[in-house]
Amino acid sequence: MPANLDELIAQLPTFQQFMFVQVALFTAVMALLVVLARNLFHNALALVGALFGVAGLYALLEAEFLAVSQVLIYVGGISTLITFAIMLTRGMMFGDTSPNNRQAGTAAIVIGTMFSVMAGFLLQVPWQEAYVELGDGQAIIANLGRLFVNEYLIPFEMMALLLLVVLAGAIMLARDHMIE
Amino acid sequence: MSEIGIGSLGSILPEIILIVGGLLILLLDMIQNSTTYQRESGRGFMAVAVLFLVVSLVGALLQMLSFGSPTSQGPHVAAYLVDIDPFTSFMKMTIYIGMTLVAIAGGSYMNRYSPRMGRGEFWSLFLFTSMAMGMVVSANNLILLFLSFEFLSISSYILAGYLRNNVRSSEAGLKYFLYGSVASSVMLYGMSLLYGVSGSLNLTEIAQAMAANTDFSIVALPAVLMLMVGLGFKMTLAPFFQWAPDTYDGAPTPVTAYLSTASKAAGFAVTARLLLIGLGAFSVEWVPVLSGLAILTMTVGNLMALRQNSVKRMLAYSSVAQAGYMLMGLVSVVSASQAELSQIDLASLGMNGLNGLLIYLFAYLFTNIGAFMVVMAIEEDSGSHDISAYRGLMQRSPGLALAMLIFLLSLTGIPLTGGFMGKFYVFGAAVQHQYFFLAAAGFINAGIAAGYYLRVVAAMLYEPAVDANGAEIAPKPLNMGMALQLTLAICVLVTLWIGIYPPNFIDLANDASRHLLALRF
Repeated sequence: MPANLDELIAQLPTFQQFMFVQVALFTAVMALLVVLARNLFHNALALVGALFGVAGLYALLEAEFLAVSQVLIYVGGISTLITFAIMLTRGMMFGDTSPNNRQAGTAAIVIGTMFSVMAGFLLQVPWQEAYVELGDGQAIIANLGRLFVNEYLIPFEMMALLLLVVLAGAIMLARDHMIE
Repeated sequence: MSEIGIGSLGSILPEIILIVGGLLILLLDMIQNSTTYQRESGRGFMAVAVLFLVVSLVGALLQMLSFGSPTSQGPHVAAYLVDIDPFTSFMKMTIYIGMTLVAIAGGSYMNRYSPRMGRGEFWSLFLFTSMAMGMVVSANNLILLFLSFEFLSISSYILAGYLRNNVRSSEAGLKYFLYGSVASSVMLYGMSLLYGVSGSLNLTEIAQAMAANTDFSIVALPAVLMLMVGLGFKMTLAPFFQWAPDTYDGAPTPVTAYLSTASKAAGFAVTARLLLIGLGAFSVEWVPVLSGLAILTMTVGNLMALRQNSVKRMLAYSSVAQAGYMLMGLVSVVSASQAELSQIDLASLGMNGLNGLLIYLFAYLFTNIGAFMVVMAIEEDSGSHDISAYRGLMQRSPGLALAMLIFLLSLTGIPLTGGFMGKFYVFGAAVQHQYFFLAAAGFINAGIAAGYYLRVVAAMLYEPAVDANGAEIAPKPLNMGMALQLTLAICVLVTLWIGIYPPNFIDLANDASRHLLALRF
């Protein structure tokens, strides 16, 4: 029964869908671990996993540039910083350093409700398909640089300024008390 | 796509001036502190900051007045993402005036109490915060809007927690930060919904895309709810206001003064723009949400304020309640009955709700900054915010007591003060558009509010000064700095000036509101 087999194959999920489910599940489990694991260091490691998972989702959506930036900045930079901060802080590494609080149950209920409402709602919306044909020899990020100095010049500059402000503020708030 | 020339950046010159000022102060600070840990008074930085604020305020004012002249460029979009129109100029003017007043009056307080090494940074952050507010009210694109919104929030977290050695200030900064980051992320989710259906970040294009396909209207309500979490946080609306009392109470008083006025005004401007331009066609969805929030906000704010003994905390709750009245103005932009809506031209109405909001915001700015500056003066004198510190103020410093009296009357909404004009226009619009329940809730709340405002008045005017044990003491004169006296005088004069119906100013507010309503999709 070859015809039936073809039909059966057509009903199977595509490879992309299969990969998506795996990556999404991985991300979700890691994200839950970030909140639920009892040790702060484990939380940090799970965060690395969750951020990696998000990078995977970007890659699946063919946003390679975003995926690479995600790995470089979040996985490579920020997570490393967090891990170091935990390792250098006394008494944070071992034991029950990230306890649940009393509101965990309430939070779970609220989040569960939110999730089901949002999921039900998101399935109803006829989302637009974003699909842009790329020309020969054109890279997906070719327009990115041009947009940054044209249409999105102001947000780009604001972002730079914001980083400066955050840096100055963080140094200000975390500076050694002894200098005062 | 044409490239951005230097010429098109001329329209955002006020913001660029503020950035230059902020960077200049950072540089000056670096030069001064490079080798020694000498005591730096911070006065020089304050002078530079005030200078740059005044220059950009003048720039914003000129821009606003230029819309009337035939030679001007008129309302336009600068650098693709920044709307330059009467509405944004009005908001910018309001915000920069507020920041300048706070800088002049609160500068010496901040210089005295902020960490010795951090005086330069404070003033530079202060200028950047003002810039972010100027940007957020003029952004017509979700990216710039969110970015400058976050800019404003992040620099405000730092400023609220600036007095590092003060536990209350650190608590204020941390609470603000925790609430703010959650609220922003929810708001971002709402924005992503809008982008998802419309495929555009531009507010006008979003409105067009939503109108083109009726299937998308299902997104409107969830998007509004999520946006209101982030915006409501900034405007201190009722379910999202829990941070406000602690932050307003703990933060340095000058920071509180701008958080409760300029920052709130920015929040209202963004809300008005987002809802009227981006989601104007879906007023059926957001009007009930907003009117519910308005009633809840004013009731909760007023009931909590009744119980406070600390005047600073009472003003914090009163600021929450005032946000409820302001929101009434935004609700009343749309008429209650849809049939009527199509017949009348909204923009031609004398009380279109939005102009009420603008007048209210402007009057409230002067009133509330003035009130917080009185709180600051008392705090510097007695170190206390408690209502007992205000007893006998009339004998100690008649000027300060009279100024506070006028501010409190204006907050209550007594005629001949700016607060009355604001309430008159907002309540008037609510009645005109047949939101009688809203107007009734407003009137009842205004009555409740009079209770706690007048309690301070009674303490100031009629009760004798007491010491810590409650024993009566001879009134001791209270000294104020020159800058504080000047600011208080300005605040009093403007509060009274708006109260006696200044036609020019009302015209400006009308122009600003009409412009935004005409853009409404």
